Amino acid sequence: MTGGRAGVSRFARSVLAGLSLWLFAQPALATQQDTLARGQRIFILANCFSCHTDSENDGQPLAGGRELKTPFGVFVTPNITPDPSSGIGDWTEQQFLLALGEGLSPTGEHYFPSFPYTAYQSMTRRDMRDLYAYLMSRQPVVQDNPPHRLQWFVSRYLLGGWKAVNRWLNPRLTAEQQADRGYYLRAALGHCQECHTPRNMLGMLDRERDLQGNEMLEAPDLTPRNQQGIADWSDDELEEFLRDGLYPDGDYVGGHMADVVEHSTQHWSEQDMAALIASLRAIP
Amino acid sequence: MKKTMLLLAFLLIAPTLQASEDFEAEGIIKYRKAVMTAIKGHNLAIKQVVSGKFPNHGQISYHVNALGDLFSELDSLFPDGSDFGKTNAKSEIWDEPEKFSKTVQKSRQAFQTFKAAAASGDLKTTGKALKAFGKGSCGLCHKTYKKKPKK
Ligand code: HEC
Ligand code: HEC
Ligand code: HEC
Repeated sequence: MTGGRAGVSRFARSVLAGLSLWLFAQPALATQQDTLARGQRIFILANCFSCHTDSENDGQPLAGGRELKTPFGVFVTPNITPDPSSGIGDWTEQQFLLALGEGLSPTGEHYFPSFPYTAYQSMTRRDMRDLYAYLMSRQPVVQDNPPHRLQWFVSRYLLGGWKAVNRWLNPRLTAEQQADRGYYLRAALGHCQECHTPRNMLGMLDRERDLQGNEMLEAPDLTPRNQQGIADWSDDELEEFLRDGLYPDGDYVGGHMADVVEHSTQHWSEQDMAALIASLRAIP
Repeated sequence: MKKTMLLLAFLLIAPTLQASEDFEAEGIIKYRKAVMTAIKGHNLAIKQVVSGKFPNHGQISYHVNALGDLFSELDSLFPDGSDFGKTNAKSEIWDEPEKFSKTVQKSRQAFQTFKAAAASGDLKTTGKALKAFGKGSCGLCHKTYKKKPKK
């Protein structure tokens, strides 16, 4: 009889213990999932996939190997899967934040701005952290990084000076600018200016002519100065272009913008799309 | 003397040879663009119908068939020598012909998938399939093989 009661209370206690464990574990699990879901959204908004995947040759997701042809030479993107030997699996969160925020490698080398940290440096800490968590949850792929094939005059040693001048010409977004969702989306995450803004001879963005087009990259002027451009489109047409790649006249998007639409803008949420469009419309 | 005559003859003929080749390329490019414009027209016409802005649903099959005919002609639009002149086609088409014909293949597959969906007669299904077709054919090929036209 007593044994029975003790049994019941032992049972009750273990149920209670189990329940409280469950109660404590539940929020932790939920936040971990929230972090990954947020990280995935950042990943899509910032379009990390398209440069770091050699889609044209059926490359593995994020394993790098895509060739970016530029006047400075051919850059071959690195493996950013969590494989510890050939990818970034052994990186700490701090090292990841340093790469995105300062353009510095774990060994202190400067990255080339063909990795658009010049835009990503303006991401919020929280967005960077969630992105790190998401990347670390991806499938590791063993694939070594081939070297870049650069022009003789291009060297990592010159980048320190370049970055200092560039940071002066193109400072990080202020907290206020980061809080403006549409502006944050196009300038920090979506990095539209990296292709749509003209550059000076040293390859630095000409802020004075923000989004006024880069002929060499065939990226059109997105400001109202271009009367044959989006100034002439309705907001619905602009959204249809960013979601389906369809121009109002029935033509289909080509070149690098096709990557942007395929891997990034078509997946943006309604709110983010609306904020982006409003921000483009606000350009004087 | 004979040699000089030959040379003279060559010099006289060469420019015309050159000119006739240019003329041919120009004609091919114009034709190619016209076919693309026709493709665009049928695509846009289907879009109007599926979005409910044009009442005659029967017209869809007419445009789908026309697209099928035009798509069967895709590879013949890019013969050697038609990479110069007023064209927005990228040189990769002729540099890596196997890759290009794979893209043409995929574009045709995307068309077949769309055609099957359109045969259902359901506007919603057709509309969805039309978007996928745009991405999987027009978008896919333009991404690698078409430059932005200069305005
Ligand atoms: C426009 C193309 C492009 C985009 C977009 C891009 N990257 Fe990169 N990334 C590069 C290139 C090129 C390098 C190599 C730079 C170098 O060697 O100096 C690189 C390097 C890196 C590195 C350093 C890897 C190593 O082994 O040292 C990391 C980490 C990285 N990118 C993460 C990201 C993340 C995260 C995103 C999205 C937020 C992203 N990249 C978007 C082109 C790109
Ligand atoms: C990697 C380079 C690159 C990036 C990043 C980029 N674009 Fe583009 N964009 C282009 C190119 C190239 C074209 C021309 C596309 C074509 O050939 O059809 C283009 C075309 C466009 C057009 C059509 C404009 C017109 O007048 O025809 C719009 C709108 C546009 N981009 C918006 C954006 C927005 C918004 C972003 C940021 C979220 C962005 N782009 C990021 C390269 C880029
Ligand atoms: C297999 C490749 C391929 C496919 C598929 C394709 N296009 Fe094209 N398209 C091209 C190329 C290449 C050009 C540039 C032609 C030139 O300038 O010589 C072009 C040009 C165009 C043009 C501009 C014509 C002009 O007058 O300059 C339009 C419009 C167009 N395509 C629409 C479409 C639409 C709509 C679809 C899908 C229903 C489509 N294309 C499918 C390769 C393709």
